Formats: sequence, C-alpha cells, structure tokens
Amino acid sequence: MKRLFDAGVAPARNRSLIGLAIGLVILIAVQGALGRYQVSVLTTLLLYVCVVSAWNLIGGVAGQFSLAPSAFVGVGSYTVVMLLRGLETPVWLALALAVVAGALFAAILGLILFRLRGFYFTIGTLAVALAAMTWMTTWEFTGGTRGISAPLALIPDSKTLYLWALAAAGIALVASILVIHSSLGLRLRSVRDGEDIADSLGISPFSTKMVAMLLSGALTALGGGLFALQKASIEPFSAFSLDWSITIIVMAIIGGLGTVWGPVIGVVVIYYGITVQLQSLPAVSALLSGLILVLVIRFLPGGILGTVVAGVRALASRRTRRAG
Amino acid sequence: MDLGVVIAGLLTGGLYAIIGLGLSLVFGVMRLVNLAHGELIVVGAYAASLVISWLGIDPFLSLVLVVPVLAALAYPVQRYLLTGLLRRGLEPPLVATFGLSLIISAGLTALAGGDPRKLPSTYSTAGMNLLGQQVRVIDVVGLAIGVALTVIIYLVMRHTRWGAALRAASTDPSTAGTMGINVNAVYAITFAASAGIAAIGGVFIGTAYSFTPTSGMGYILIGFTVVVLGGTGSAWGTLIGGLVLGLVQSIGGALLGGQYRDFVIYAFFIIVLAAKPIAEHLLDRVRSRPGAIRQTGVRA
Amino acid sequence: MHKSTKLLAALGVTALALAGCQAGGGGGGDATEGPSTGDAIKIGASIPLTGGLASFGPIIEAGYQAAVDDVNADGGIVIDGVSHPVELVLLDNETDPNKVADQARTLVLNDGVAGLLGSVTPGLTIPASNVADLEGVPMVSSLTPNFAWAGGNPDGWQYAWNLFMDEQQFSDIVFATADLADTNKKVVIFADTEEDGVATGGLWEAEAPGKGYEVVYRADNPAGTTDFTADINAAKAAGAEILLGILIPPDAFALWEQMKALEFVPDLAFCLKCSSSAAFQAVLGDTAEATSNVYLANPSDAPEWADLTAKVIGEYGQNVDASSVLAAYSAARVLLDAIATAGTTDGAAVNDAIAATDKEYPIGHVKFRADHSFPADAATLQWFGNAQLQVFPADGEAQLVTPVVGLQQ
Repeated sequence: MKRLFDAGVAPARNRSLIGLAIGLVILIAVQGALGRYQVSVLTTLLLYVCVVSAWNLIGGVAGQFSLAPSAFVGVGSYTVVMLLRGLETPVWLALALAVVAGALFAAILGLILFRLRGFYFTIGTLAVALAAMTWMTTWEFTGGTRGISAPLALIPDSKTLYLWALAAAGIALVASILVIHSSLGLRLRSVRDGEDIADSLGISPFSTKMVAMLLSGALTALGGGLFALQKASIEPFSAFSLDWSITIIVMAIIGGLGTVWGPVIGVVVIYYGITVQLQSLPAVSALLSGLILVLVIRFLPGGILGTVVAGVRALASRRTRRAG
Repeated sequence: MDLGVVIAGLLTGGLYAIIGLGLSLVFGVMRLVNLAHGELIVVGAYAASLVISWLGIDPFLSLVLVVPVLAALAYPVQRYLLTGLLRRGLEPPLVATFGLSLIISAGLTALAGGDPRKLPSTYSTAGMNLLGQQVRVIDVVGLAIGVALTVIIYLVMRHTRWGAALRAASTDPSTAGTMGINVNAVYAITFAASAGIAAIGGVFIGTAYSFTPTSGMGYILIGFTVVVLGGTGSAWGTLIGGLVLGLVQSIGGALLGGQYRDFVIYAFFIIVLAAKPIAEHLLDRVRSRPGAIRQTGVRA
Repeated sequence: MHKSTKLLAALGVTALALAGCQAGGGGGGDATEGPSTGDAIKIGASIPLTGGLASFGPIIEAGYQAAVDDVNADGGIVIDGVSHPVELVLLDNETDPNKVADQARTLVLNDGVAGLLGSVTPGLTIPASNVADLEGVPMVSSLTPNFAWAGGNPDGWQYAWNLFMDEQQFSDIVFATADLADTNKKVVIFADTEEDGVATGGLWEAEAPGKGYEVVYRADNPAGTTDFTADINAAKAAGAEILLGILIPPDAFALWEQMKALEFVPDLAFCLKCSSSAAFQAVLGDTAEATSNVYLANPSDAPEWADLTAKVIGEYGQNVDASSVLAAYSAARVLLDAIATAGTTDGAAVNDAIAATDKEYPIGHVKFRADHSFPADAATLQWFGNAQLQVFPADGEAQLVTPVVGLQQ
C-alpha cells in the first residue's frame, strides 16, 4: 500500500499500472453488452491508442519529431497480410513477426537518421516515409501497386479482433508506463531537453533514442498489422499513406505529449469526437482537426491532459494557500 | 546522355527553385519550418483562378492582385501566431503550420471542390526550340521566374537597408532589437514575402500544370530537399539546389526507368542528409576552422 | 497525488466517451434481421465525394439516387404485401482506401443496410467487397474493371458482384480501332504506376505484336508526374503514330499540353482513366478534340430504359459521365430488384437472387459469370467538341477522326 500512494517514480508507475489493469478488465467485461457497431468503433479506437502511444514514446518522451509512423504502419500491415496470404500463418505469429519487422525497420531508420537533429531529423523521416511508399509501389514481391489481400477465411471475427486490439493497446500503454515512469524515461527526457548536455553527463543519446525508436516502431507495426486485418486488402498508397502520420501526430499533440494517458485522450477526442461523429461531413472534420491543433499548440502546450493537470494543480495549490 | 534529359531537368529545376525560395527565406531568417508552404502555393493558384473568373485577365497579370492579398493575409498569421511560438522552440511553430496546412486544404476542398483545375492561358501549349530541343515556352518562363526571384532576393538582402535589417534579425534577434530593429515586424514581413513568392509559384503551376486542394502536400518535400541541398538561407544556393534536384530526377528517371522518378528524389535527399554532417566536418578540416561555430544566419 | 489526478482525468474522459458511445450507437445494435411493416429498406455506399476522384462522386450518387427514386415511385419494395420505401445512405470516403472498410462496416452495423453499393476503381471498391463477404451482406458495384476486382479476392467473392468492362477490352477495342486508321503501326505507351496503369500498360505491350503493332517506346511515370518532355521527344524520335495512355487526369492535362507544345501529333491518342470524365474536355478545351477513350458502349436501347437514358444524357451531355450515371443506376437496380425478387432482406436470399439475375438494364443484358462479374460492352469514344461519340463499334453516330486534331497548333 505504501508503494501506491507515495510520491515518486515507482508508486506512480504502480498506480498507472493498476489503473490500466482496471480499465482493461472493464473493457473486456463490457464487450458482451455492446452492439456490433460499438465493438467495431472501439476496436479502431483501441488500435489508434496503440499507435499513438507508440509515437508518443519517440515523438513526445524522446522529443524526436518523426513523420515516419506511416512507414511502420505499412511495414506491419504488409508483414501480416503477406504471411496470411503466402504461408497461412496463424494470426498471433503473423502479428509477432510484424513486431519484429517494425523493430528492424526502426533500427535501420535510427542508424541512418539519428545523427541528425531537430528539423533535419524530421524532414529526414518524411523522406524515408515517402521513399518507403514509392519503393513499395515498384516492388513486385509484395504485389506492387496491385497490393495484396489476406484470405477472408483467415480474418478473425470481430470479437477476436476486438480482443487483439485491446491487447495491443494494453501492451502499448504498459510500455508507455514502464518507460515514462522509469530511469529510461528520465534519460529520454534529458535527451529531449538538451541532447548535448545529456551527452556530457554520460547519457548516450544514440542508444537512448534507439531504445525509444525500437519500441515505437515495433508497437506501431503491431497496430498496423491489426489495422490491416480490419481491411483484409491493402496496397502501398493507403498502407504507407502520410495520412497515418498526420492523424497519429495530431492525436498525440492534442492529447498531451510525453504523458501516458495523453494519447488516449487525443484518440478519443479526435477519432471518436470528430471522425465518428462527423462522418457525413469529412471536410468539416478535417478543418476542425487542424483548428484544434493550432489552438492547442498556441494555448494549451501540454495538450488537453497537460492543461487539465495544470488546472487541477492550480486549484489544489490555491486551496492549500488559502488554508495555510 | 541525351541533351533533352538535361534540359528537361533544368527546366523542372526552375519550378523546384521557386518552391524552395519561399521556404528558404523563412527558414533562413526565422528558423521556421513552414509545413503550410505547399498549401500557400495552392491558395495562390485558387486565388488567381478566382480573379481570372472575375476579370478575365492573364494569369500572370492576376499576380498584381493575388500577391499583395496573400501577403497581407499571411502577415498577421506570423505576427500574432507563429512569432510567439518561435520562442518555444522548433516544434510548436512546425506543429502550428501543420495545423494551418490541414485547415487550408480542408477549407479549399469545401469551397472549391476536389476537381483538378488549370489557369486558362494561350501559351501553356506553345512550344519553342532551345538548343536544338523542342520545349514548352511556359517551362522556360518558369526557369526565368526562378532566376529572377533569386536575383531579387539576393539584391534585397545584400544591398538594401531592409535586407540588412533582415540579416541582423536572423543572426541575433535580441541585439537587433536593441538596435532599433522591429524584429516582430521583420519576421512578419518575411513570412508575407514568402507567401507572395508562394503565390507566384502557384500561378506558374496553375498555368503550366494543374492543381487540386490537396496538391500542396506533394511540393513540401521537394521544397525542403531544395532548401537542405542549397544551404539554408542562401538564395543562390537554393536556385542551384533546385536545378541540381531537377537534374538528378531527370537523369535518374532516364537511367533507372520512369517509375523511379520520385524514389530517386527521396533517396538522393536521404543520402544528402546522411552525408551532410560528414561533408561539413570535412569542409571544416579543409578550412582549418573549428566546427563549433557555424554561420547559420542568412547569407545572400 | 498529481499522477492519480492525471489518471482520474483520463479515466473520466474515457468513461464519458464510452457512455456517449453507448447512447449514440444504441440505435445500431445488432444487424437487423428484416424490417418491420413499412420500415424503410436501406442500401448504402462509401463513395468519393472529395479527394482525387471527387469528380465521380456526384455522378455515382446521381445514378444510385435515380434508381432508388424510380423504385420508390413504383411503390417501393413489396415484401409479403407490405410496401417498403427505399432509402439511400452515402458516406464520403475522401478517395482514401483506408476509410472505405470502416465506412462499409458502419453502413452495415450502424445503419443496418440490406445491401451495399460500390465506389469507383478497385482501390475503393475492394475493401467494401471484403466487408460485404465478411458480414454476409450483398454488394453490387460498377465503375471497377472486372479482372482487377476479381483479383482482389483470389479465393472468389461470395457476396460481392460487379458489372463493368473487362480489361481485355482495353486492348481488343484499342487495336481494333487502330486497324480502322492508316498508320505505321508504331505505338507509344504512357502508363502511370498505379495498379491499373501497370496492368493495362503491360496488357498493351504484351498484345501489340499479336495484333500487328510495334511498341516503339514505353513511358512509366509515377502518378503526379508533371514533366513528360523527355518521353515525348523520345516518342517523336521513334516515329510513333499511335498513343496509348492510362494516366490520372492531372498528369494527362500536363502530357496533352506538352505534346501540343512539342508538336507531337499522333494519328490516334487514347487516354483511359484521364478522359473517363467530362472534366477532361472542360479543362483542356480545344486541346481535347479527337482524343479517344475506351469506355462503356452506348447504353441499351431497350424501350423500358429509353426515357431514363434520354433524361440522363440531357442532363450530363453525350459523354462518359452519362454512361457512368447509367452504370451506377444499373448496379443499384440489380440490387433492389434482387431484394424484391427474394422477398426478404436476408443476406443469403438476396445474394441468391442476384446470382440468378438475367435481365436487361441500361448497362446491358446482365447475367453474372462464375467469378461474380458481368462484362459490359466497351467501345471507343472520341471527343467531338464537348460530346464523346462512339466511333467503334460503329453506332451510326460518328466516324473515327485522325489525326488527333486537338494537338495540332
């Protein structure tokens, strides 16, 4: 009990883990009571939580603003669909291999680009994301521009897909909690806030960033593989589309960068709040997303979560001051 | 190697230089990464389309109206939104321009619909002979515009008081402020000028090719590749960077096959990025200068 | 203390959202078995109203809506003596294949549609066909070439059906048309790297020799290419007199203007995909004159469709847009007629009724093959001013014009 309610890194981590566990249990239990449409919406929502949390690790905690999550979604999608079509591998194995593929691609990306800082790194990731997409359109092995489709008989049914999505979101959030509330998180944030200073303090920026990148890439690929199972057919222009990067980054920033629960809030606000509710007016939804992004970055630098926390803190300190 | 391939590459390079110049200006002066630049180009094209439908004038003539209007709209965006964010680091302004690009393309889609458009002109199908190769007049005009803009920017930077103020504000904003330079106004006017350049690019693209509300996205990476190639903040460098990129794409496409045209650009860019630190390191060694302090302000 | 505040805030927001989810989605529930008396029967589609293919959106919508309106005018769909009005639900997929599957699923699970209708191009139709098969809801599509669509499911479609041209026609018709003209049999191909560009370009290149033609130059460029001067000059140098193109409209506009400027005037110029909408001539004006396209042949002249055909052509002009509207109309009618024949909205029964379709529609006499596709007749259409007239197979309307007059200075 003591380790749960104190201040400090370990108790914070334990509180978050328990909170997450409770949330997951509720979501599993509630599945039976929900209609098929709600299960479908929730599945997509959970998958976004997975990939946005993944990006948060590299973009928010480590401060390396990457525009390449779309490439990892594509890598995960293609790995899963190709394995299902070509070798009829069981879904769990295909997803596991997607994770491995994501990590490998992340390692390559890091090796090429981590020497670059700030703007150059960001633009470099954009180039990699676009290069990956154009490469896939010419690669016959993966079907070129025709794309590939998974045998429909091997696609899990919606209940199973929901549980997979829940697992993916759970894993991503556990990873976020363990990273953020740990010394690794501290090291990542120090690299984010001042890479040279961190370096002079003995923290290796390269290996620290690489750990975040590997985790981020692996988890994004996992999400990508599951997204592909929702569609069954994929092709390069959509699987590697920059729209993935845009959506993921918008959700992460609006929710609150560098926090565990920010991505969840961002996903709920953007996906559920805007995309789903405004389905019949897509121009409005895109406009709204952009507007909210500008307003948040201008007035709410910590995202929604950061602002709520700061507000609560301000209220709490005002009360303490008045009392004392 | 066919001379035609080289000429085609240079002419395309003119277009790339135009795209890069606006980006280079704001990045060189303010270190602002303007992800909405592509959308500004497209807005210029749509604005021109509107003016032409009212007044029936030549697309390039419509610039007389379009450039000031676009610049005037851009001024407050920088003054009241982006300048404040610059203080907070690299990401916030980048994200803000990201958001602006989403707003602009969604707005254009809602207002103008998704159909591709062209700016009507009689000379987009006119041809001429250049060094024995048949080329489009409009493409040569594009190259000429690119060179002209480069020269204008260079002259303004080097030989006017205004340019001096710009360079001072970019090198050391706080000192420039104490010298009586209104840094906020300088930044805002730079962004406005960049929007004006984007408008010129938009009219050129609208006349020579076609545009839709979402075509802006495609120009951004080209623009940044040119900026990085040319050395940020240098007008001549940007022009050369654009020409080099056009050549690389044209020659790469001819050698590897047309379907690799885009891939060649991205691969080339990644190689340049990866090689940049090494190249700078070598240059410093050659010049026997410590690498610690590098000129990052505006060079004209 | 502060961390748990964060946690509470997050859980709170999520809980509220889920609660809203329950309330909002409550109406959807499980997929409806069948409507109660007088309830509307819904059919739905995810179509591109914005984005790259936005020009097709309103056309598809017009076709589907016209079919729904006609059925409602006849008293709706009668099941067990009860008349059910038909309702059309459309969602905009913004020409984004990623959105199609989600939207198709929403239509089935949330709107409870009894049948799905298709979009345009394999990229936007196949994901919806997947959902149709996975959810057991019948789907009829058009404006999607058959071979590519069938290839989207190598195991064979169960609930999805398609009516459109076979890609083979793109080759047969093109070379047969070229036979009508007096050319040097030298062909240049301009293809983009999209899936249909690769497939059709490859088909042309493979079949040309067998038909007596020689491909002297082939240009493959990514969609979004703006500069074709090098390719045009190479085609000129190789002496090509026939141009076969399959490009997206913006690329085609650039290519056509550049050909005119560079004085490359082939005897015959085909632009598939690019001139599959009237926008081609609207944007290019005179430059589009005498450019050819391979598209649906003139609509059926069966008397029951004469009024509809006249109305559509009156509204859209004598061009491919009118044919597209009628194709969409045909797809929607096939679906609605099958529901009426089956006498139920049960997916399997309607599916069987579609399989048994054997009737004349504007797109032709529809009877599906084993792979669930119906091959509509194709023809060469040429631009004459702002009309596209059928020149091969000859329909008494117009004769083939060579060379491509619009490209002459």
